[in-house]
Amino acid sequence: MFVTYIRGVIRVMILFLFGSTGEIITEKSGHLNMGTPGIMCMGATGAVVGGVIYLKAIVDPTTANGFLAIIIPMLFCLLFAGLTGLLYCFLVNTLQCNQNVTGLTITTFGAGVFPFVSNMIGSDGLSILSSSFYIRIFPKAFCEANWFTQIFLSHGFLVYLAIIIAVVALLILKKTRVGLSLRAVGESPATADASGIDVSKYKYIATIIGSCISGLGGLYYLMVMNNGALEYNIESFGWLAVALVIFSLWNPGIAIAGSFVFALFYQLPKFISSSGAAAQIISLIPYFVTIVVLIVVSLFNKRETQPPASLGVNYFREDR
Amino acid sequence: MKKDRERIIRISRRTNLKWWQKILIKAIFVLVAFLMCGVISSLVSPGSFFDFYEYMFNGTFYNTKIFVNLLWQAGLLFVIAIALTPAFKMKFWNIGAEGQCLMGGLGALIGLKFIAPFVPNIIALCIEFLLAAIFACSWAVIPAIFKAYFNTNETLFTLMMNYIAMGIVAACVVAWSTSGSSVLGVVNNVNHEGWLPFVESFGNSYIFNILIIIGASIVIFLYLGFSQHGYELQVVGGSRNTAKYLGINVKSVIIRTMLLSGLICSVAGFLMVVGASHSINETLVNGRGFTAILVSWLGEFNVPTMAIYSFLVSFVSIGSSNAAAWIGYSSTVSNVLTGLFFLLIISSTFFVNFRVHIKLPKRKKNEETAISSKEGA
Repeated sequence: MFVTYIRGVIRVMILFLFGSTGEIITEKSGHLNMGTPGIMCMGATGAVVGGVIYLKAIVDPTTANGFLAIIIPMLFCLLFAGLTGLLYCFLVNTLQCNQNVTGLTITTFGAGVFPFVSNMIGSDGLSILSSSFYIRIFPKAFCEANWFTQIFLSHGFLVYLAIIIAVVALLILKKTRVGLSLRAVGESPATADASGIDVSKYKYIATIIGSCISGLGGLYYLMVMNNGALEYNIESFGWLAVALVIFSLWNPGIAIAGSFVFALFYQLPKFISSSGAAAQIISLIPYFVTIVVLIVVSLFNKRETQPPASLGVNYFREDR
Repeated sequence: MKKDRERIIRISRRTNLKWWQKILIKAIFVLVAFLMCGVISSLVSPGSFFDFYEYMFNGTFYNTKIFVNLLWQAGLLFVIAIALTPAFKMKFWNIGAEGQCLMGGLGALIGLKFIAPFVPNIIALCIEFLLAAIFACSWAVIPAIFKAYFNTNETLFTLMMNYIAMGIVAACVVAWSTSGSSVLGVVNNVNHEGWLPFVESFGNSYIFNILIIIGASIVIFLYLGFSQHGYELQVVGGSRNTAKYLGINVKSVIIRTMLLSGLICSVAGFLMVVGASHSINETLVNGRGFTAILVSWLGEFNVPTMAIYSFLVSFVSIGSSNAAAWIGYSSTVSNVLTGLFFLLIISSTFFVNFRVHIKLPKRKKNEETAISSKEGA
């Protein structure tokens, strides 16, 4: 029972992790991207489009090739999410539009596009494709050896990919010159510019990469969490992922632990099998926890725990 | 090489645009947005370009009842945008209108369900509004207190409060629904105790609601433009230090302004419950709290401009979902088109605030360009 609960927690946790890692990278460049829920929706849209294109090409879904079934939806997902990130960055960085407004619009837009496109092109056969996504990467006998392997080693590859991406992002941000420059851009773009860093380039690349990672969350939601069935609840998960960025103090390493904690609370009503009003109240715990973290962070005014100093502020070179 | 490329397109800020030029730029973008709606419709369902506009107008202007419904939806969006505006002028990014309205609605519903059947109608309405105001204001003032005293990030605080409000409403609905259906039916359906009066000749029309909204908007218009409070919150938004030197109590201004924000949100919640649905569920506000943020921002906190944008957005949203129903594709197209509409309006702000200089590189006269660029700087 407990093992099933933790496995369920890890299932949900990965969605939060994709979303928040992507958002952390974007925010480190000084872009407060409120469009992350919309970008996750766009990622899911890409996955539907890619999946349907592949299904049309092979005619009989049962003959699907495992590798192609994964890679084609994934590429389309990255393409859609990346293009949405590019649109956001173009509006905010080149056209100097307000970040909050642009982000919220992208969320509205993405949340509309996902059901619209997937209703239009249909989703028959996606559930067959989705089975490729949760093929375990370790052999079956090994996975079910004991409780440890059952919990941690019996997942599809996207689960491990999310954790690897978070760790790599942490290392790049903290240990490399690129990471240092990116942090400089987020803290003070004018200073970074003066020291010879191409601020625009960093903002564009960070936003697009961040959006691609968030977009993978959409793919994960569609293919792994819902087994290819169309559910349109990504938006609220996306907002929790944005909240998780605060919870993890802009650190992808803490985000791994943070997403686990969030998922733990998220799955709690199922575990203690409560229903009705009590279940509704328990499912609010992640939001309460985020608020408490926000307050605690503001009480202890440490430099390391603060958001990037120029977060949400556009940088216009000629205003220097 | 690289410097040459940069010089072809150069962007500079501009402040000398006349009012009619601003309106012209925005009007062009609104027209482009409307054109895009038809184009997208004909992409989805070929040949439906003109049908789309016909159904769009039918869904919004066909008869008095339909038009009053459009006005009511636009008015609702408008009143929420109005509620957000004082906070935004103070640079307090309140994105919690969704939750504040929902809590207002919950307060009104408690009055409607538990008090209205036992008291005269006018007292019931007063109690309902009082409860709505208490609920919505407390939802607005909690983040404000933390912002004022600890400088807690209000954007995410108010966002989280939205979801908590939704959860509380969902829990209440589950607790109150009798048959375990987790749907709360229309409250006081038989004798209409505690309902806002409605004009029979328009069917179940919203004329009374619209009048209340117009009243609220006039109050806010005067408050922002012609009162001491309106001036103070603008100074706090501009610079907290300046406000301190002027002897303004920044903390009390923040809390006071958010109380006002919550109060207007409670009007929206009250009208939605007592004047329209007479019931509640967690999607009562249905994203209007977020759309209103965009309306308030793009209307540049100007009350008449916000009214125009609310009307246009509601027209696109209601009209396109009607067109989708008639032409025969998913009604979620209204979200797509609303998003597109906003994206285009957002892009228009660039052309209002900036000027694009296009200058082809002159290869031979290197010295001349160097001098002119010095002059430009």
